[in-house]
Amino acid sequence: MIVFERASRWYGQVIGVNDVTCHIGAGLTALLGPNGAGKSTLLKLLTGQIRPTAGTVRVFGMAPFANPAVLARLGYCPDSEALYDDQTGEEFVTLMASLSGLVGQERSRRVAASIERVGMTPHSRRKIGGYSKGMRQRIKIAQALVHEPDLLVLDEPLNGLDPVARHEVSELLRHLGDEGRCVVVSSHILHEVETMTRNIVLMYRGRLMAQGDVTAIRALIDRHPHRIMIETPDARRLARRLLELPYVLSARLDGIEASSVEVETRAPETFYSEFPAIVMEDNFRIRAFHSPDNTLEAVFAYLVGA
Amino acid sequence: MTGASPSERSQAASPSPAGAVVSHVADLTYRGYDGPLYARSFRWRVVALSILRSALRKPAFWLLAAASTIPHLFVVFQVFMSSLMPAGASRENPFLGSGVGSKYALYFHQAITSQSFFWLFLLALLVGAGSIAADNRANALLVYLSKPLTKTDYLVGKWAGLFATLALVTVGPALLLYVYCLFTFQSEGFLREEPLLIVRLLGAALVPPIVHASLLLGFSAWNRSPAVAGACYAGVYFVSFVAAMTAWGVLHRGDFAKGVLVRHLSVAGAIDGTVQNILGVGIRVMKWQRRQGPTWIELQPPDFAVVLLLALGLAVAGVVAARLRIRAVEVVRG
Repeated sequence: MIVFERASRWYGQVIGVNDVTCHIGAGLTALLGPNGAGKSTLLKLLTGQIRPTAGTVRVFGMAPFANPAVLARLGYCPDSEALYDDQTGEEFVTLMASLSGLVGQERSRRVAASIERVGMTPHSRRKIGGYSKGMRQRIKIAQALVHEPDLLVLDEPLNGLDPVARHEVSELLRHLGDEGRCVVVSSHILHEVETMTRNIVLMYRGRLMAQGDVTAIRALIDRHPHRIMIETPDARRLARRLLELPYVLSARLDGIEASSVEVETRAPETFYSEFPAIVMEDNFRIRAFHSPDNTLEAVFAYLVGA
Repeated sequence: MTGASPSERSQAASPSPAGAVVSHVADLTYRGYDGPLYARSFRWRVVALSILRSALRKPAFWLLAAASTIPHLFVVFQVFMSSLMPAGASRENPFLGSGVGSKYALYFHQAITSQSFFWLFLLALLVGAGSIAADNRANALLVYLSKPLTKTDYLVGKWAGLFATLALVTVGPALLLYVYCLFTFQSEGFLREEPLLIVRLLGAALVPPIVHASLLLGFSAWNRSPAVAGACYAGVYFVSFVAAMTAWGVLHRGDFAKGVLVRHLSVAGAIDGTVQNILGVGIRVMKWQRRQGPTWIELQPPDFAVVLLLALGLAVAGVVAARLRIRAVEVVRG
C-alpha cells in the first residue's frame, strides 16, 4: 500500500529523511523515533504535502504529491491543532466531508457515524473552542475517518490525552487496523505504541533503523544477549540451576533478599522451550516471568545505542 | 474522481518502482461507504461556500452590509429631489454636482465609489483579513491540503468566496437602485438614452470586489493573524491613497485637470478610475480660491488602459502573493 524507495528529503542543508526504503501494508503500523527523527517528514511525504528530494514514494501505486486520487483515499490527522474555535465539531467534520467529495444525506450519515465512532456525539454541536485537548484530538480523528479512507495517517494521536481517552483512542486505532485498513501512527512515546501494535517502523536521525515485529527485530540484535526476568522466592537456587545450562551467560540476583533473577542468554528460543521442564523437575515456584528485552524501549535503546 | 467498487480498488494498485508488487488490500468490507465521491471541480466551491457562510453568520457583516447601502440611499434621496425639480434643472442641483458625463450613470458612480472607499473596504477587512491568516494560525492548511484539494482549488475557493461575499454587497444595492431609477425616469427616456447602463453598472460594481478580494488574499496569506493582515492592507490602502492625492495636489497645483492619472495611482484610485471609465463618467472637484471662492473643476476619467492595468496588476499581485505563500508545511531552510 505504501512504498518508500530510497526516499530522501532535504530542507536546504538539513536532512529530514535520508535514503529510506520500506513497504507498509494493511494493519496498524507505528512510526517510532525521538523528536527530530524524521517521522513527521516521512508522514508529510506519504500524505503528499511535500515531495521527495531523491527517490520515490508510492501510495496505492501512485505518487502522492498533490495527487487528489491518492488524497481521496487517505485520511490525515495532524499533530497540530488544525481546528477553528468558532466552528462546532459537527460543522468542522461536515466541511471536511464536503472537501472529500461527500454530499447530501450520505454526507450527513457519514458525519454522524464518524463522530459517533470517536465518541463525540454528545459534544458535536458545541463550539470547538470549548473542547478539551482529548475532544479536539477525537474530532480530528473523526474528520480523518469521515470518507472511509483506505489509509489513515495519524501524527502523535495520543498527545495530550488523559489515560482514559488514551485507552479509548488506542482501542479505536487498533480496531481500525484490525478491520484491514492501513493505519500509520507516529509517536515518540514507546509504551503508548506498545499497547496498540507490535509492528513498527523505527526512525532515527532521518534514517530507517528497523522495520517489522518488535520481537523479530529484537531477535536479530545479536550484539546484546536476551534478558529474561523471573520472579521467584527460590531466586538463589534457580540462579544456580540455570547457570548449569550451556546457553545461559549470566544470572543476576536483585539483592541479598533476592526475589527475582535476571538471566542473559543468546538462545532465547531454546531457553523458553526447556524452562518449563526445569521448573517442574526442581519444583521451583514462579510468580512472574517476562522479558524486558521484548519491549519497544529495549529495542529502541539497543538500536540507537541509547 | 468517482468512487470505484471494492474489487476495482483492490486491483488499482500498480507494481512498485522496483518491480515488487505493492501489497493490496483485497478485503474492503470495512468500508461503510463506497458510493461516488464528487469531482475535483466541486471542491473549490466547498471552500468558497464556507467563506460565504462564515461571513453571513457574523452580525458585523450584516451591520456593515446595511451601512454600505447608505451611499445608495443617499442617491435615492438625490433622485427623489431631482424628480421634484423641473426637467433640465438637475445639473444645477447641488446634490448632483459630483460628476460629468452620462446623465444617469453619474448616480451609480457616486454610489459605487462612495461605498467602495469606506464601507466595502471595512467589509472586505472583516471577511477577508482572516480568510487565509486564520488557516495559517490554526494550521488548518495541513488538513485542507490532505483532502483531494490542490493549492489552486483552495486559492480559487477562497477568492471566489471572498469575491462573492463582496459582490453581493455591491451588486445587490446597485441593482435595486437601477430598478428605482428605471421606475422614476422611465418616462424621461432612461432606457433609451443609456441602454447599456445595466451592463456597465454590473461591470463597475464588480471592480471593487475583484480588487479588494485579491489584495486581501495576498495580505492574509502572508500573515498568521487576521488583525495584522487587515492592518497591513488598511495601511497600504490609505497610505497609497494619501500619497497619490498629495502628489496630484503638489504636481498639478496650477491645473488639477491635467494630473488626473496621478490622482488614481493608488488602490482606491485604481478602483475609482476603472469604475469611472466603465460607467463613462468623470468627477467634479471643488477648488477654493481666495478671491474667487469655491469653483468646480471637471475631471475627465483617467486613461482607461492605465487604470485597468493598474487594477488588474494589483489583483494579480495579490493572488500570486497568496499562491506563493500557501503551503501545508513550514519549510525549514538550513
